[in-house]
Amino acid sequence: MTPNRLMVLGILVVGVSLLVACKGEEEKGNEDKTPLTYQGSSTIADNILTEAVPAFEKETGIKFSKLSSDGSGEGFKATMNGSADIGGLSRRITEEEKKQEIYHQIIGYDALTVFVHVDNPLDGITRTQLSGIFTGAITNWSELGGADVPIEPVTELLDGMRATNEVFEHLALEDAKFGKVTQVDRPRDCVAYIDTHPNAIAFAALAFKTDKTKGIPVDGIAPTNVNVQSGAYLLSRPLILISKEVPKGSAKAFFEFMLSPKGQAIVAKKFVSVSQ
Amino acid sequence: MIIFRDLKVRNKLLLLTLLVLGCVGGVIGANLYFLDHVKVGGDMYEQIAARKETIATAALLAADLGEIRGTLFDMVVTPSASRRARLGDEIQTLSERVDSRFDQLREQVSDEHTLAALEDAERTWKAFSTTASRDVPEALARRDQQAALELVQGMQKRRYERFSGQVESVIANARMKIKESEDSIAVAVSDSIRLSIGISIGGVALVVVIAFLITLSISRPLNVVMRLAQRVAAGDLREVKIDAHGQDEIGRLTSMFQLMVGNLRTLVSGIASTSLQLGSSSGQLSTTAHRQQEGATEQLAAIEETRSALERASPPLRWR
Repeated sequence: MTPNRLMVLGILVVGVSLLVACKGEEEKGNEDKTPLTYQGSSTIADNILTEAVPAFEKETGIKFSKLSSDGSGEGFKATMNGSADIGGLSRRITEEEKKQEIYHQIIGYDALTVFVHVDNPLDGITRTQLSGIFTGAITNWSELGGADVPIEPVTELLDGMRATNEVFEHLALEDAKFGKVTQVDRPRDCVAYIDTHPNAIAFAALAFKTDKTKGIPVDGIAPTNVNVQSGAYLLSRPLILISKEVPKGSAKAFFEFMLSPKGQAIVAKKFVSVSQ
Repeated sequence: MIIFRDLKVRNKLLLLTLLVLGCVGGVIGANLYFLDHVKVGGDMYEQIAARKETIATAALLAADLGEIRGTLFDMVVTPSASRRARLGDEIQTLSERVDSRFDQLREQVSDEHTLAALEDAERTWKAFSTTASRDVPEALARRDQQAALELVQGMQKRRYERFSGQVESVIANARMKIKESEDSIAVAVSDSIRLSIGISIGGVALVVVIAFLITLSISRPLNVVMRLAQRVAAGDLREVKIDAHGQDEIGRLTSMFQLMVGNLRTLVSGIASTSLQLGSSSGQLSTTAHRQQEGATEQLAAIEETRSALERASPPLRWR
């Protein structure tokens, strides 16, 4: 072996060992721009993410590669099994879910609004009446002082995975079961259903209001920001983002964006923001 | 190799010793630094301690909130006016305690997410507190127990659910962050171990390579001189070209040796030519002697001839 070859060999050996040493350091650095995936509540996906995702991408350059809105329950499952980075729940986290340890952050509150047709003379309803209508005890508008026509209660699909139904069941029915109701897949369509069915009554996020429907106060309290924020309004629910672990990289950036004034302003357009 | 060429052997050995010492020292130092650094991953341990404190305060807060809700319910349902008054005072005390716990938590918490959750919880708590200290007693004063009960079981229950949910989320998230910190400490420890192993291997490898080069820079020219000496010992004094010899002792030895061999060669060839000359002179000398001898022989013969001629020509002379 000539001295020159030896020199090269020596440099190689040293270089390789230094590389081994530094490998750990390199892995950590660098800004993470990994695309994110979302699964869960359609209330969050359709009303917040449609605007928040482009704004977030513009600000950070991080994209969402998947947005699927198939309900809070599915969102929780998908987040826990790792198929979604961020999940969305439009209800409280259940005791069962809490046991699984999940990172969660409330980004706002939704007032679940009771909708009737604009031509419906009803201008307020009590929790007991709501419970009666949706459990099937009250079936005619005349029982509430209206015309003698049957009431058509509308809900999202009662597949056990819809946050809106769960929240309503807990808060308005006080955990009684739904009676005979018309089931519609998406919350937006629940409200739109009333447009063509004047005897229908439905509950959904205020954001889904149409021109031919009106939201009515419950127990005399209207779903205004102040009433939702103070907890005075009966049918309010938190909007929660979850992640399996303490968010890092692009997921962390998204959580931060949603709690930033920009993100909260987007939430406040249709819901009640969490920070003021 | 080149850089070591002009170093003295003494200095090379010194350098070698220093290198080995430096390597040992460096490896020990690097390992100590990383061990210390991980221990000072201290800031991670501090974070964990701070979060544990947050969890403790939040848990106390949650307990107080639960207690105040229960007390409020008791106050509404009790038929005894004196007990009601006492429970009212209790609620007052509890409320103040909750307020101070919120203050305490806000000081302990530093990240935005938790602060947002806390602020939200506190806002709902303020509404709860107002209802508990004003609206509920007012309803009771009106002897409207039904209205008070509705407040407690309706609005207040929802508020309670909301802020206790937020407080719980603060606890749950802090717990997850502790777990995360613990995991990252584990990662930092294994990273440091890897790094220190890397530095050790790298340092040792570097020293081995340099030591090898130094050794080679000593032994190679020595071998060259040795081979040269062997040739000279075998009587071969022919001129040789030695490519590299540095300015160290061995380099100088090599040059001197070459010079010596050169001088030896000159000397030996001088001796050879002198002896040759000596040979030829002695040859000439012997020739001359030979001729002289021949001359003498001839003279002797001539004298003998002259004597015999004289003897033939005259009677023998009497010689005295």
